Amino acid sequence: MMGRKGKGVKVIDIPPMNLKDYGELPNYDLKLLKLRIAGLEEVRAGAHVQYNLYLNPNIIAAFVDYSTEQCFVVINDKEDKDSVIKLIEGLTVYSGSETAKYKALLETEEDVRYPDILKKRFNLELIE
Amino acid sequence: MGDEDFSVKYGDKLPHKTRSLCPECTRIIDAIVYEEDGKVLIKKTCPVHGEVIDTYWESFEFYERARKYLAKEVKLTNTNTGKFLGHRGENCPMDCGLCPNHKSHTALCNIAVTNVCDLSCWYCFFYAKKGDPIYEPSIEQIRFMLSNLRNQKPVAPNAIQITGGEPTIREDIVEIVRQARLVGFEHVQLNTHGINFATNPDMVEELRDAGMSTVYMSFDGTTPKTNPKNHWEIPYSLDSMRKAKVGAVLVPTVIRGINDHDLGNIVNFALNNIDVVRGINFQPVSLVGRMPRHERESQRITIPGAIQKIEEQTNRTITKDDWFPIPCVAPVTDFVEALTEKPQYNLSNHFACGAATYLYLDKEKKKVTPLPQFLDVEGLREYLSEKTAEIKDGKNKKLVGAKVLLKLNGFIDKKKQPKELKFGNLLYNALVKHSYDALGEIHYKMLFLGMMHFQDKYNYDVERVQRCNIHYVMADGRIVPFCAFNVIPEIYRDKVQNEYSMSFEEWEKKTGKSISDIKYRRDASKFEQGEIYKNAYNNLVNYFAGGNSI
Repeated sequence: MMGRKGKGVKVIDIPPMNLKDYGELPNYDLKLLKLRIAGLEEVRAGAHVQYNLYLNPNIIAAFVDYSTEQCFVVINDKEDKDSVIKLIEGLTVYSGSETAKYKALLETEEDVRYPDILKKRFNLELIE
Repeated sequence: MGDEDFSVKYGDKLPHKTRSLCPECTRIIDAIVYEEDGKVLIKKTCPVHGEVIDTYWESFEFYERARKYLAKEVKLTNTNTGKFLGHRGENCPMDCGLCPNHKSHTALCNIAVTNVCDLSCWYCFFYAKKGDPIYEPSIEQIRFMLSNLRNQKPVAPNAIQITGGEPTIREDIVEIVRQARLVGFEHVQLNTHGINFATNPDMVEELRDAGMSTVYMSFDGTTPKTNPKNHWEIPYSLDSMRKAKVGAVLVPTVIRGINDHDLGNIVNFALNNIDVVRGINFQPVSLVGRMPRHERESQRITIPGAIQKIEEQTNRTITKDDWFPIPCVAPVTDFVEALTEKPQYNLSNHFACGAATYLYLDKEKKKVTPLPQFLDVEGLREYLSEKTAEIKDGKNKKLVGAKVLLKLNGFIDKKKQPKELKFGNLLYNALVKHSYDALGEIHYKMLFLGMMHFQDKYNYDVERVQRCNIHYVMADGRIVPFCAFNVIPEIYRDKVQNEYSMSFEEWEKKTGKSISDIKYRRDASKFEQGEIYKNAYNNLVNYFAGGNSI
């Protein structure tokens, strides 16, 4: 479940800012999922999906771009990516008087790292 | 009505289209702010849970005046939401951090250092109950959060509020204050019920020596009924602060039908303690939890409603015209910014979020004079805007500064200005010398009255949260507006605090305490028998009735 330095994971910029002030940070096995969601007609529908993703304690970060129908989700390893899709597809879209379901498709997944200061958040220990 | 029937630009006339939240499912939905029967209401319809109407402001007239006070946006140049997301705030308020769409830098940031409190007030949402996870970030985590805040650009926040729970419960609270100073905060404010200052006066001195600037202290009324929280202890807390030369800001949560009849008395109480009380910040209640409309209306009070009550209860000494929305100071900031060519501390929050005024007390004559009754606020704002434009057009800054010095006294009505108050000099120091101490001096000479209305899901206006400048820093480093942090706790406050919490059992083991042991038990009669108590409540001068004793 744990990563280590030099594993070759892609480093991306996750909050908080100013990580550089804290020097070299350990890598943890988090996953960044990129999904495509059909049915995001409006800004508020993107927020609807995002809000519900945030309610899952294993989802670290989520963002839905309604204009491109892309959804980015950072999950910890307790989370199963299929359950993210199920969660999205379980939500109902309301557009005027019509109701429908979102359709979610996993496009890519990649490893990401998280800073040391957050290790307590995930209850992880660094393997040197 | 179609979209063309609503204004959409910030500050435009009503009806105005904005976005809000469904109080049932927190879905973001369109909302209309509109006038009806002299009031301003907000209406929205959730596709699942139906229509919700709530009071936005009790006075359309006051809204019309307030909406003209607009400050320019201040965009952060180092936002805090992760570049990989690439977002621009489309899902506001679900993706705070702060994001690139936020329109104000942090003016005052809260840092919660515990969710434990030794009281259990019925209207408070922020204390751990038995078995709940306990959130008490370590000194290292606190330093991380504070440093992260100080790195905010273009304007580094210089004011931090240490809050809880009850922060004085932490045994290392003095060290936390010291760390806030070390990280660079000039103004370190402690948000407390003040009870521990009554029972342990040494604590105030220790905190002062560590760098605490002000105590932000609950004070909901002048009677045991309106202020069951700390009525008995407040006189002793103030006495401890008086001796330690530490100023206090009293903070009443205003609830209609509970303490809204006591607001004038609160102001009078503060004036009687003006040697230690620097201000009052009234906070009209934020209605958390599910409430039907009739119940909300029985407790709902907003800024104009509270101001109206104060006018009535102070014998019209403090009128509604004496209050100005917070962004009214924008021309002052713009002028100092033009003069210094450096980004300045800018109060660019939404006009509906807060209002303020200052009172001058002539103790000898027992006369209270609100600042706008001798200072031409509108004229000064207009003049400073003109001078800012001149500097931007290339005029010599020193020459403009000298002109301002000569002209400043022209905005002061000498007949009405209290003689011992040289307000023109104070203004010049604050404006041209842009001295932080000069601002402090104004607070020492006058009593600040503020109104800050935090939102709830019923009256939520996304435009307000986008301009919020009262923030929280979370343990993961994100900085979140007050009305996102507390109104959507399931994705901000509670979620993140739970992630960084220890179990209840761990906390008991670590501290050697139990929640039931730390709960405060009051001996009211002991306090009531003390001279300090008797003097505080029984020998007040009534400054709003010609100086007669109440």
